[in-house]
Amino acid sequence: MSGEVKLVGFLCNWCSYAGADMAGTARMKQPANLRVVRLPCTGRVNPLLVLKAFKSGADGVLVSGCHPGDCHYNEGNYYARRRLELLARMLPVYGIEPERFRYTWVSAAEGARWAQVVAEFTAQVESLGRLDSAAALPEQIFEGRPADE
Amino acid sequence: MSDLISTIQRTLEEGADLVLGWTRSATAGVAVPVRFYDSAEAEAAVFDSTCVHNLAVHLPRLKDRTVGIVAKGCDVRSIVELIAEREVARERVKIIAVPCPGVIDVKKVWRCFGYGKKCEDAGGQVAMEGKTAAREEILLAKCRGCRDVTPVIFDQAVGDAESLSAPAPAAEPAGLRERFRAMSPAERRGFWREQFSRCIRCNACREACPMCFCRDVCTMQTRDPHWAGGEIDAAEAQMAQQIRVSHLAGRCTGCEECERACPVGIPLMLLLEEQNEAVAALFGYRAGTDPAARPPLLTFDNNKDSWGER
Amino acid sequence: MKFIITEKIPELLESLSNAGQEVWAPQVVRDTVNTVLFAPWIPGADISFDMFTSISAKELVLPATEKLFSFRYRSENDLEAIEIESGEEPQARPILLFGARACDAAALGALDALFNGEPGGAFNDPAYRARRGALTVITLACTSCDTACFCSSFGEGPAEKSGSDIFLYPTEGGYLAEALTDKGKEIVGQQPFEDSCATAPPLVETARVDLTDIASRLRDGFADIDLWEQVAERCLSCGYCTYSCPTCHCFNIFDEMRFDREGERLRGWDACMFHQYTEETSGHNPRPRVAHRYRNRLSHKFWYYPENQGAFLCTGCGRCIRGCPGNLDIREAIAAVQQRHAGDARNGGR
Repeated sequence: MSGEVKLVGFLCNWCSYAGADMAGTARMKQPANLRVVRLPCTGRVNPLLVLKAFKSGADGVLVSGCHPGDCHYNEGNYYARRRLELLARMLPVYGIEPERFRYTWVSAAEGARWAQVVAEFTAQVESLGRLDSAAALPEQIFEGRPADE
Repeated sequence: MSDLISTIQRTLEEGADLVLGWTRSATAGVAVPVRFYDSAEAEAAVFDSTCVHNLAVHLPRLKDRTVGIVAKGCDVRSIVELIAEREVARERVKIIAVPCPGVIDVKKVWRCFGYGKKCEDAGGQVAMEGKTAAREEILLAKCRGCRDVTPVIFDQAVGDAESLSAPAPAAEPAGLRERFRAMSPAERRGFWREQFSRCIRCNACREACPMCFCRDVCTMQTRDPHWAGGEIDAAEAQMAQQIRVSHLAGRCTGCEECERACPVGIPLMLLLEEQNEAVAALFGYRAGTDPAARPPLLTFDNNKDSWGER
Repeated sequence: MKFIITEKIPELLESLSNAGQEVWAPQVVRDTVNTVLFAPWIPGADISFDMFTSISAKELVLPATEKLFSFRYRSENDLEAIEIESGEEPQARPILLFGARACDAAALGALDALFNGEPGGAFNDPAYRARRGALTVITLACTSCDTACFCSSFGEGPAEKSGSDIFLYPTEGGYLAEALTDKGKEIVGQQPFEDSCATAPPLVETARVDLTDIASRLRDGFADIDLWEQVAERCLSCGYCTYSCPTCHCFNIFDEMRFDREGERLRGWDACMFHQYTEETSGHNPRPRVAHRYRNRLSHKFWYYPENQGAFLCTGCGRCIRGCPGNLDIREAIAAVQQRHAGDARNGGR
């Protein structure tokens, strides 16, 4: 499967989205593969959003929120941290390379850091290429069936 | 068996509205789950290796009553997790613990013996119509290496303390699990695509699971938001199962009823065991071991929760 | 009678495959203990001759999901302007089902009564009819059974020929073949079948369930909700029985959107045992308890369908008994109904 990698980002409104805005208004250079979805808080990120994004064609998913301790809603990102770390450990079980998912904390003042995160993450996913689950190798599932050529 | 029968009768006398247990069935190799409402009915109670079902699955729909339940160690874990989640009240459940020597996988009986009429359990060997096999060979995979022989909590126990802590048969080498762990990501994607291509969306996995008690408001079938499509298709089936697995994070007690119920043999426990291990590694938590525990995803610990965001 | 040696069966299937048939056969799923399914067969794959499939072959005439048509809204502002693109013409690709049992084949006969009527008639489903016409069934006659089988309760039991094109009787070294239709005669008339004057072995007798007056008894027992609560006590309402059953055929029609304005209307399997089966948009559900749903299932199979279509909607294959996670036994349910309401019938009924 060729073409540019498609990335989806779930950003919390108060820190990371503002930080991304700052990067944009300051015209900081960054790859344009990432499409941003704004949420009130990373605590709102249902792990199913990430799984559905991959199923729908995303090659990489990034979640970014306030630094722990600085959550606008006090503790949303504490819950998110547990949920997302567990999700990160489950993605390889489904066959999604761990490098395709990243959760991070970027504050409203860290525009430069945001640009750097986007650049790093894009390069990381590009090195793996497109995620085409349909093209994965078929597995022999009936007993005695000869292997495909 | 008289010990079991009198214990059930005592439980009923002491105020339980009914007791969930088993009795003999006509089907070779599997007992029949029943409800005992009075002492006379309790005379038919049995417990042996054919009592494979996890009867805790019935507790959520009976939570308005006081229910006795004959339970193996693995079943008690489900009961404990239901109590920890406040789905059933501790005082409304009367647990009758039984010493479990492991339960038979009827599919292994079919495979070893063909479809026979009667299966004789004679200590270490099982015989059916002239053929024999070691008991260990026809137990459910979960019974080998079982860590839950001694139930976590109970109100009454059948058998002595020794029988309730007898060691389980040794774990067997897990062929599929080893193969799966050695697969590359692309191979795993292909593996799941093929496995879920057999899924017929019957929902038996969900209905057999004691922790899936959302019934008609289950996320696997919501139209709004529409996470998983209704078509019987590998990608949608995998999404639906991912919904179920993620909703069981920190809650699955490893009873394996989902896999036993699946008509098409999808290795659901591969997913759930990986998740259970991740939960244990990250949060030091094993579902169904402490009725007063706070479920790990409903809390946080800032002294420990840092895995270095990537 | 003809005869085929067991070792030549793969050769037979391969030549039928080369002649354009898509061959399906029972096969064991790897890494499971005993999960056997009807699945497309490719040369070299092992066929399971002795084990029962956990689900039926009905997907060959009633696909688990099929597209009825695609649609597209032409504009966001006008929801009346919809383009509809018809789905594929009813599939008529030739399929050969090898290794069915008499109960599987007879089930096709039961379904035919509802779906395979003449075009223009009341009971014609063009998609089903096309698939049914293109299906050839080679049945393995049963000389043994298990405790869950009860096909002897219906028709000729293991000897029931309806729905099959060829009957294969197990015998020394191979199978005696009896052609039952023209399609069947054409197949057995060729290699690797040989002539034989042997007689077919006796087939097994399975358990039987008493179906005397069952429709009336069900009618009498309809309002007795206590009976149904008791019968369905350990039912998990999971859907295993309905989805594995060769005669259950309920379906749902639903739309899945693909993108903003494009979607597909699909028809797929549904189960009366699901809680949502009769759930209405208001939220009201006329069958809220599993007891209601189980009553409906049993009544459909042994009262409504016989009354409306002239056949029991059951062939005694035993899959629902063998695989039920709660160990329900449909025969016990029938017996409970018979026993409970024998008195009513004797008193002249209602």
